[in-house]
Amino acid sequence: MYKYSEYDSTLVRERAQQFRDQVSRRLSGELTEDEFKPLRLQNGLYLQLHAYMLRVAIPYGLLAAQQMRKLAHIARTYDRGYGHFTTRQNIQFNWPELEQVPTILDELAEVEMHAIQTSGNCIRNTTTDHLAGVARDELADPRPYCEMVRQWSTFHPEFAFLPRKFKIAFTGSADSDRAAIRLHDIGIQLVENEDGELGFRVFVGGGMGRTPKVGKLVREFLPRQHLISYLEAILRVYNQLGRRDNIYKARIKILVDALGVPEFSALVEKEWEEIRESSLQVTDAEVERMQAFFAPPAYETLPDSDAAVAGMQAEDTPLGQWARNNVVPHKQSGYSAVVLSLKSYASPSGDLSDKQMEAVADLSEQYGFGEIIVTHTQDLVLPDVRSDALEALFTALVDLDIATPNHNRLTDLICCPGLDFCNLANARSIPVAQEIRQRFDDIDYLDDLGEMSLKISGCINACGHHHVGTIGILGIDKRGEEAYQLMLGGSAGHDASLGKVLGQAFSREEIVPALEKALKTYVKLRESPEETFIETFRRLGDKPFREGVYGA
Amino acid sequence: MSATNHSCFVITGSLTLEGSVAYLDSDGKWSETLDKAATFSDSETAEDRLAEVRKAESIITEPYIFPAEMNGPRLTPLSTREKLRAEGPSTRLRRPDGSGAL
Repeated sequence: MYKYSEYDSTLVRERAQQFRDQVSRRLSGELTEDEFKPLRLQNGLYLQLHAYMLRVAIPYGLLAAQQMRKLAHIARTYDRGYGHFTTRQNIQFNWPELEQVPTILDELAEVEMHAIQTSGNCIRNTTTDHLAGVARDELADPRPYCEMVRQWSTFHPEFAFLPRKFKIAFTGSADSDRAAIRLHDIGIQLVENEDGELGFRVFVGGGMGRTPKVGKLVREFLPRQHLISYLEAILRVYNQLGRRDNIYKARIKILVDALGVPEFSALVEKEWEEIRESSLQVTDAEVERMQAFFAPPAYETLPDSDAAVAGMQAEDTPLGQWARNNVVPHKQSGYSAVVLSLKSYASPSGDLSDKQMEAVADLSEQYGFGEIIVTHTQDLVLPDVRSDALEALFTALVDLDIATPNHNRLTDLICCPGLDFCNLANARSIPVAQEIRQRFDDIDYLDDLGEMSLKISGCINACGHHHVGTIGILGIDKRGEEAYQLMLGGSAGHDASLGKVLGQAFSREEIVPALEKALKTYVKLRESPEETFIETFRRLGDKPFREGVYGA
Repeated sequence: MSATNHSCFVITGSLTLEGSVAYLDSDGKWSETLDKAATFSDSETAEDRLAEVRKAESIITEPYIFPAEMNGPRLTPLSTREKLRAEGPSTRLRRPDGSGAL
């Protein structure tokens, strides 16, 4: 993984010192909240419903074991014993005191972490496929390019005050998208041209929130050396023309829609012409330097383990269930990637206690090379597990309550903090998620339902990605009461689509029974057990589901 | 804002140091429990008091007024949001006291 240069270390340490002074001035009354707020937000510090919340960046979701241990230490020492992994591959601490935040930032700097640009109208944490570097369907590892973008975007003087926040995601896979790239301001897919040269397919203007949009293709093939100059051109056009008069119309998706793709692309190309041959060009030497940070670890030469893993998956045992759903094929012979479910039946999606964090750090070293990946679906991945150690790892994960065999199943649900924690939310989302997990706890039933995604947001801002769930649930305020809309047909993958609201909102008591009716409708209508929920929905449309849920 | 649909108003905010929920009490101090909150029968009086407490920004951040009602001796916020602020998150694992965490 990337190692800080002296420049990086100095920059992060100095930022923590600077924030210590700002906090001190806020507490002495020298700074008003209006003056302090933009400063704290630039350091990832929000003021939420019950307390401050600190959002810590995890670049492209990659954590080293010692970083995970530091997060555990912070959770235990400065918070209330847990952290919350988010849908942007970051972690949030929900209870820090203001005075202690600079010390937390000092501690993070010790392990090459920070909270810079995790909030505010700037370029946020660049995200990517949680199987980057190990996926069998990967054309190339996207992380070296993510790191280039991180370095280019951190403290970029032109882009510190954009019209609105800005999110970039990469995938290195040709046929699948596990990073939801078309739901980002810029989505980038690594591709090869006819000559076998590596480059990028670029999508712009995707996003969720109150105006959800699927990103539009603006460039079929961008040569590798032009990655940064092209991004700079896009950002310049957005910075100049994006709306600043209306916060709800300020994202780049609104600009792309207003101009249309041809005009927007023409403006980008014109801007790009000016800077394409500048020092922003990515040299082969720089690519090689970055790739060296993400070189494959020292894998042992092992025989192919596919048959052995398939045998394990065929077992009608808890191990077999877990291996079927949570063990992922690896590109290195004899190895597997393992999804650690942070979706147990007892805890909110994405939550992990300090003790669990430390145990996961230990397991990453015992069963891998000391790396852990945070997924945008609020799980963790151990990327390099010897397949002959899967059973032993499973036993350890069961003891930690992170072995729920529900990856890509109904209860593997994304869920934002909702009204229990968030200042923006209209309705609670965690209790709905917990009721769903308790109601649908039969793994055989979940397996029968097959691959699907359920995503819950407590408000229109869509941190829980409800627009792109096979099933989405959106919490709203209906005359002072919490209510929930049911949406069907969304996808965050390469076939990205936005879900459709099925009908009238449901009360808190009604929403889970309504979900159950939608599931029963699917089971009744599918052509075979192999036809997934979204395939059935796309084949038949929403009408039969509306009838199934609301009655004819 | 009128008091026709509720019986009183309460002034709340977040303690600047801790970030925790606080309510203005009748002594002009900030209490972390709703039961000790001062109540205002009309919004104009509450607004006047709010303008005063806004000057103490180093102690309280972003103070505001919310409507509540008295049920006997018990003060109850009208909105779910304020009920959650008063009682803490409704989820077991993430209770503020950490109960339920591993």
